[in-house]
Amino acid sequence: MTAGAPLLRVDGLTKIYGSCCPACVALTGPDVGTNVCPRCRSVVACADVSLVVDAGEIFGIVGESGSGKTTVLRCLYGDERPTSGCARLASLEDGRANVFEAPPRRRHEIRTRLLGMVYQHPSLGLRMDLSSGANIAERLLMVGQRHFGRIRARAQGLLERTEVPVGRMDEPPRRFSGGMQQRVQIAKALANDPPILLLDEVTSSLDASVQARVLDLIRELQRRLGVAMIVVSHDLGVIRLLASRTAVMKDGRIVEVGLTDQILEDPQHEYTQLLVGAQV
Amino acid sequence: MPQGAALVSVDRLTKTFRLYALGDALVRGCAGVSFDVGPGHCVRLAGPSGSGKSSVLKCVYRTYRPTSGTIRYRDAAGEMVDLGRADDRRVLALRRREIAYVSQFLRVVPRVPARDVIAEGLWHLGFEVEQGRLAADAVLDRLAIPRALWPASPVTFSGGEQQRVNLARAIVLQPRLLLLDEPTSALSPEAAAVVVEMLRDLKRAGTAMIVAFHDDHAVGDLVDHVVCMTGPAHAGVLGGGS
Amino acid sequence: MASIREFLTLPRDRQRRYNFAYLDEHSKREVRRRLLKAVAIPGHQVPFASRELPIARGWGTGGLQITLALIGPHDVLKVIDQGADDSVNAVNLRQLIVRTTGVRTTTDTRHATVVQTRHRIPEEPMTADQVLVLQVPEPEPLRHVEPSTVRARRMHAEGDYSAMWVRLYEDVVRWGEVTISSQYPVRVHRRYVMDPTPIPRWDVPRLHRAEVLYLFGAGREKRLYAVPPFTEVEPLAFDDVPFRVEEFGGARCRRCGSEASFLNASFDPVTGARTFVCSDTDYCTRRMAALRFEETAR
Repeated sequence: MTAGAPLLRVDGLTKIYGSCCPACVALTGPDVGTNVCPRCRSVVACADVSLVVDAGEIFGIVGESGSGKTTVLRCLYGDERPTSGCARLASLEDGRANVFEAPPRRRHEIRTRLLGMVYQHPSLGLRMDLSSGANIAERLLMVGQRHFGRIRARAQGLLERTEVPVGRMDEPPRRFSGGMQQRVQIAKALANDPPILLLDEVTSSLDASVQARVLDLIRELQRRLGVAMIVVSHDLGVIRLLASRTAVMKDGRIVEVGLTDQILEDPQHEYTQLLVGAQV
Repeated sequence: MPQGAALVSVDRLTKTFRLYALGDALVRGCAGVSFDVGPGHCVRLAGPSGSGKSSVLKCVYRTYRPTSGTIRYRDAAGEMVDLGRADDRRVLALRRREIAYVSQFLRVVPRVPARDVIAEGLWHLGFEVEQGRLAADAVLDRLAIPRALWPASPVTFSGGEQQRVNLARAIVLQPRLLLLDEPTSALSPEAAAVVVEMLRDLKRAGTAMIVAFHDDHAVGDLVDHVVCMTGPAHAGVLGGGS
Repeated sequence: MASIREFLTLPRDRQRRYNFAYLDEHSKREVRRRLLKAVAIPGHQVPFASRELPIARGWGTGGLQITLALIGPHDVLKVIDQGADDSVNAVNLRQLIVRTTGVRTTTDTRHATVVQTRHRIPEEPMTADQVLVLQVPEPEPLRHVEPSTVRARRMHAEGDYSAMWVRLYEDVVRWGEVTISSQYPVRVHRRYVMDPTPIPRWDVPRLHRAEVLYLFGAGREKRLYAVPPFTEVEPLAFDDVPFRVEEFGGARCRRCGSEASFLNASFDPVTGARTFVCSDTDYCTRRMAALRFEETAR
């Protein structure tokens, strides 16, 4: 039984900030212990990142700040342009087109139909001056929906699904608690049924009890909708709860990738052992 | 048993942990373990605690990456795969459909009702939500978990009840290979008997089993073959570092 | 030249030393070339080098430059402001054009070849032999939803008008329908969203598949745009919340009795009662003349 064609395949994703010299990648990384190229002072946010995500799977990326995990998501979503590398989505020309080289109209389509992104800070993913219903409506309007009744009904349905009181759908998210703002963000990201959802430290700025409920919601949504996810977190507890496979990043590189239970119980790389040992 | 008929063929399986934090100390999990398991066959790993039984099970399930040796498994399509070296995604697919693992204790996910904990695996296989729940109910019933508890999260269950949920989760999938780590140690003799009965049914249906028991139980006739994990090659710290 | 007043004080022969239609031929060429581009890309704002004129910016210089660039000695000119030929602004503009071209003028829409207008489209349907030049205060339809011009231009380039649509959504949520009363955003040729200038909603449907050529000029903002004949122009509206024009509650024009034209509300100076009058003075006057003719015929 083969695993089949993946939903997303990333190869050699590299993002370097600065002037960039031929030695940048070789002179940085976990072995050297730094992201900064000693020769040209460029910052190698991530280099040679390759990963594969299957349909319906949750893939975790764990690492400390500066590891490059957020950069990977930002490059995939299009908030940043990578220096080099290639990403292929099964739903885009059968996985032949490189997302990073797509022309602007295509990139727009990818961002609205094929990917959803949930940021750590709700203000990055939501328009605080619009009502929460309008935030979701925006995603639907972006793909050409023009029936007000249906748009509103779908926004309502998504808010219900993410356990946001529907009676508040016409209020701006500015007035909501952090946990509820994240739910609205999740609802918004799911608006166009993207096959992949990108979640960047979505519970890191929430209180512990609120965090638990949002994580439960994410699990529930994944189970019900079968949407694939890439979950970025520095918290191994979050990774353990959500991800079936995980990559560990340090200084911009993936140092280890494997089944989540294997990463947690039989970490191979020295840094992974350190990370796992440090978190109960 | 002839090589060809085996579902799982473990050959000189060795697991050694390398702990960087202890100055590169090497800790042995198990060494040179070999045995075969056929369909409908039950192999017991016997030995005192620390003798490497869990390590063997975890290596087969791929929670541990074997250091050396092979674990050849014949999948539903007839393909042979070395579980120790197989691609992660392949192993995940096998775990979803064919290979189930029952740990010693249930890792509880809060707020998920017991019925759903059990049905989840079926949903991943494509069962309808209600279908999955009904199948879960049947198993819960058989394991004598009070009906009132079915919609509750196992967080509030007793140890024995939690373990029965743990077992139910694996049993309901009717896997081709079932790995059990001390499945009845937390159960009353009555509950243990029910579990053994269920395992016997699975065996009859063709499920192969590898079970770790550290002490002789009234499971006698369930087990076809015993692997003794007491030899000097098994377990213990080997050396290096301090 | 500081102002029209100064220009008009010059002796006639000095007035005539201006080039035909005031602008030099290079300036006219600039405007015409930009207009060609505008016509080729319906609804798209084309930047142009807006010239200094003896009229201050904000008073119709964009429309004026278009008229001056296009008008020829045999054209017949009509200039209106909010539908009226006799408003101060309309008179000013008309005088400047006539003084520098000598063209004939008319108040009758049917007889004009070039009509320059501020904030209204004539009630009389215009034809393929005519051009309607509209004065534009603010060419950018997205200015309220996206203050950054860079981002607004990207939105136009990508055809992503969701920020505008969201504004319409919020309106419908709050008020049950879109409450934009003038400068109602329209989609031209299924591509660009355009500001039709502060014409009332009443006039917006006239843009759709018209025979006449519509030209839009913003002198202060230095943009030209166009809607060529028979172009699709749709006001932005949800499928289930259709666009509708103003209603006057059954009122009629107190001069000509029309119920089928856009009406201005005013108060009777004597009784203080609310009255309505046609905004399009030419339309109203011709109707009155026709009614009088009918009456005398009886």
